[in-house]
Amino acid sequence: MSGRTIVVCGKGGVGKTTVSAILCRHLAAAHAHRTLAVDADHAGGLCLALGITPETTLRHVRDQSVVDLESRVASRKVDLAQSMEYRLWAALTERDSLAFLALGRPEDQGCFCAVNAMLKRALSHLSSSFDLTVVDAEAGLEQINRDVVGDVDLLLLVCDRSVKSLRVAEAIGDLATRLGRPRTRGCGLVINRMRDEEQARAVHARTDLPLLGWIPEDETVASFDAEARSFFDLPDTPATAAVGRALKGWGTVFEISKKP
Amino acid sequence: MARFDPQLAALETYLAEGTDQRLVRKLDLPGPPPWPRRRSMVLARDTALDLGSPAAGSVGFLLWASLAEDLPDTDRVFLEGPDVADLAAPGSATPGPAAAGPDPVPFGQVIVVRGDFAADYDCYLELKQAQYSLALDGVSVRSMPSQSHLWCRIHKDAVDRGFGFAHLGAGLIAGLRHLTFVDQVDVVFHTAGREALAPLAAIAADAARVVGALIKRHEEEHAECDECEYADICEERVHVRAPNPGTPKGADAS
Repeated sequence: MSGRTIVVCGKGGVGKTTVSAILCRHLAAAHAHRTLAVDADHAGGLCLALGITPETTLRHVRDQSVVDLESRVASRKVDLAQSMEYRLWAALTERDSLAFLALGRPEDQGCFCAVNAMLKRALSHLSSSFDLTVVDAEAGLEQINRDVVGDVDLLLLVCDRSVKSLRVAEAIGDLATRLGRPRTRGCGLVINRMRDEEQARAVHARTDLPLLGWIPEDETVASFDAEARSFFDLPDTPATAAVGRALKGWGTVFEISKKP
Repeated sequence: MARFDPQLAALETYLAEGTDQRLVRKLDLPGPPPWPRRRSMVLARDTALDLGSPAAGSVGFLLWASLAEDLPDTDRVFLEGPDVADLAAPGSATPGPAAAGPDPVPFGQVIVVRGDFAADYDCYLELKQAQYSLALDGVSVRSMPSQSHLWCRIHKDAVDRGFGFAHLGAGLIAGLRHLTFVDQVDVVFHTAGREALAPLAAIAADAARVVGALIKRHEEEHAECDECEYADICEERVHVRAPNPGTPKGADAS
């Protein structure tokens, strides 16, 4: 199995989740790839965008794994690994060729380190079983800086027309480059909510990041987002067509267009 | 009393009653070539048979004992309930979206290994590893030892190619027979419904306590026998008796 990984990241509010959701919709409709979609944002935006209400999240898997650790019958490393695998698979919500995993949010006060560590283990374990893994990452740099997402085949840095979002994209790109290959094999900009190609080119002119695609403003996408309707029900629109075109181009980066 | 004597006796009774009622039957082991080995991931949309999913319920455990003189030296596979081809018949699929997969089937799997288990704890670890290493083309198996749960999905292609419980049993047997201390293996599968799983679940719970005692003996340097939750097991079964407090790990406790 190829086990390719796309991570979608960027500044908060630029439309990372929208890009991830359209990507998932496109991949599920194509039926060609067994895809793992991961909502790595504690706020759970991708769940909403895809209309999925997971019964179990990674946080639950982690909590149950702690109980396993305290259970003598599963105290051996080999048994713990088996139990975690069982619980991870039970936590997946499947829809055709797509399986979905949500991070969930901690109930206690404090940092997200423990759940992020669980996410790292889960990605490392699950992604090799799928043709493609799409991770909708948390806003900002933390999950990249902490190497939560592991090896990435394609890092999509989503921005909009704001300079701030472009600078955050550059910062993430710079960080990923400094972490080095093979951690991140391909990396580039996806500019969201563009009026037209001319505006996309003007935004891109402000940075040295390679352009991997631009997505037009799309009233249908905006209304689906506003009404929390599932993107699986989204009709073909200019934005979905743009993601579809871009996906073909990204395929050449790591051959995702090849049917396994 | 040997380690799993009560559980083996209970299992024997369970099988005898099932055989009398013609519910349990012995399957012929498939001839060569063996079912192809390959680690598989089976999505719901590709699943012909979903055995022991968390919603359906499952019991899976392994017992080991010395080779008894009156037992056959051949490996055996038993099945209580319908085989794969019958369960995966078109009528068993749930109407609705393909992604929902077929109705899950309650599942039981019991493995009884006989041989020479002089180094009990090390043998236990090797048996578990061999069990977990099962990789058959078109079959995904997940297990949760702490709850004695086992979840197995069989791909539509595997069913089309004639996969049955005899192949699953043969795969398990092949992995276990690689271990030099294993002389004979019995595998019992159960697909006869959730209610009939209850006796197996009770045996699994008892067996889990015995294994818990074994692990505690080997992993804790200082055992307080008076306060130990496994004192009754060590009292009854000489093979799991705890060492005296302060006795180094691995020292003979008998």
